[in-house]
Amino acid sequence: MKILAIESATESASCALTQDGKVVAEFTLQNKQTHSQTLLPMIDAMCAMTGTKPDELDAVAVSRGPGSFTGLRIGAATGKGIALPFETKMASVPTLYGMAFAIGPAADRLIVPLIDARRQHVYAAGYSAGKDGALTEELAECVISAQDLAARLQEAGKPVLLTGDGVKVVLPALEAAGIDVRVCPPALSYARAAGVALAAEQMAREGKLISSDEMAPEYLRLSQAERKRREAGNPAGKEA
Amino acid sequence: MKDIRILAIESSCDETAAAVVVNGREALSNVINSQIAVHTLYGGVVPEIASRAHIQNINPVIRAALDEAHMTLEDIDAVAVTYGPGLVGSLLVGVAEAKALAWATGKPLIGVHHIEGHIAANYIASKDLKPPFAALVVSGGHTHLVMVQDYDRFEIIGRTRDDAAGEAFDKVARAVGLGYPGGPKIDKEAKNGNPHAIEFPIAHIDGAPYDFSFSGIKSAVLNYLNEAKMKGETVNRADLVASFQQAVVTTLVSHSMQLVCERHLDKLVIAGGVSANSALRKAMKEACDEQGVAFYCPPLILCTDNAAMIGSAAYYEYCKGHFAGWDLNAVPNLKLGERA
Repeated sequence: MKILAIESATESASCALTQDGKVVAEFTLQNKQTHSQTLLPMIDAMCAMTGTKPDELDAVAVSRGPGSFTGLRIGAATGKGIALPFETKMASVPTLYGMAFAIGPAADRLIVPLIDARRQHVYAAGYSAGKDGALTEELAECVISAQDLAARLQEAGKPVLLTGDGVKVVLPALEAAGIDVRVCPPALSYARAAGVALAAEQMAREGKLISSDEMAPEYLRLSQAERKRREAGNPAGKEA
Repeated sequence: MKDIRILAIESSCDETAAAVVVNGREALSNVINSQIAVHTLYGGVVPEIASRAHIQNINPVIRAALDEAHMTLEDIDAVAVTYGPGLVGSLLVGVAEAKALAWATGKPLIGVHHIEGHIAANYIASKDLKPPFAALVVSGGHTHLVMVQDYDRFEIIGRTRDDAAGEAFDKVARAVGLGYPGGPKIDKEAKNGNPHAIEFPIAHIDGAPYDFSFSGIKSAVLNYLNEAKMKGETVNRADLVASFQQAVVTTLVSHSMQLVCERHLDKLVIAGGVSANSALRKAMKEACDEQGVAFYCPPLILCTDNAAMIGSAAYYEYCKGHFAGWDLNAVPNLKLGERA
């Protein structure tokens, strides 16, 4: 199965083409240029170089969050636009799940991808790898403080492998809590589209592909206006 | 010559819209998903909430626009999108979607300036309208007096120094308890009031006779309310908003007519959300009739944000061969007449 994957949830802008588990191409930029300007030119170049036409794709996979709100929407809109003309199925891949796939199975360690969520919090999840390479969720994705994450990982009682730009936020607290921690080197530790594509293959096997209309980001956080409204005792807009 | 069919997308503020337009003049569909109900809870547009709604709505809206036009993407000659000015998060959804659609289908991409779109709404409404003409663009985010030299050439003659006209309507409506959106609510309430009950000041800016300022009028309304409260007097709300509206309309009409007379123009166009205001439409028409100037205003559905107007403006870009690259970005403060 041929998958075009898009990852723009964090600082990296990345696209990949995979065919049955093989990464045919992957383009990634990690600098300050906006994803809006770089993402589609990268997809265009990648598809031209590999002779790939959009109507040949079996699925368009998008890293659906959590992450930068704007980055998520650029990725989602790009994926939806590519999928719409041919009614191509989409995979709405949890960003942290894709990051776990990008570093592969880690023997006996809980893989904990982390994204800096600002305000002393991270987006976090925990996955363990089976012998077949499939990942099982052990810690559901959440927004969490360093202290709370340390407590949760202590409870899990497993050595952990950390990846992602949120590591710096939690590392001191995890070490102070005496957790057996290993950290992925920076060259492996960023969100990239190959991981999104491999996660999408797994989701396809599990029958979790959706239509382009259904694809939407998962922010894990309300907008500031909704949060304030809720704190003031009013229900969030959509529930009113 | 073959008909040129453009699929246009607009998401610069709080409406997710798509339309199919033929040769810049005929809208085969004009689908608008408005978020007013959500933003009313917050008394105005919340950018993050607007962006989240756009990404949810955009594919169904595009699909509906194609279905209503009885077309598929294969029938389309180009994809157009508003890339500025507007809310950056909102713009980015439309821009990313339009680029990807155009890329996937191998169609050319056209980036459209939102204000040029508002002006072009009149090309759909009035098939005989051709530049040159004067245009007053008034909305919640914009107040521009523009000389339209050609379909793609614009000269800004005057602009607001502070609040946009529609913004002043929203702020006054909030102050008198009419709520959001202020424009249509004031328009309705003013019908029951005396527009000459209270004299509000009209700002003149030294050395810039065509520029506007609405913060002074807005402050005068707020002061009036405060004084009445301190004296324990009840305010006749209908008179108050009718007088406020009269002051704004008078400024808009006098500046526009000054331009028309000075440049000996025979056509005046209004556009944008505030051009739906009934008092403005009436006063401008009367002033134009008096001077023997042809007056153009779009039907209400083409006044507020929509994608048909973007498809019309895009047609003239198509004819001139102005196409955008895959690196097209949203430009929240895009200047009128600028090209990406």
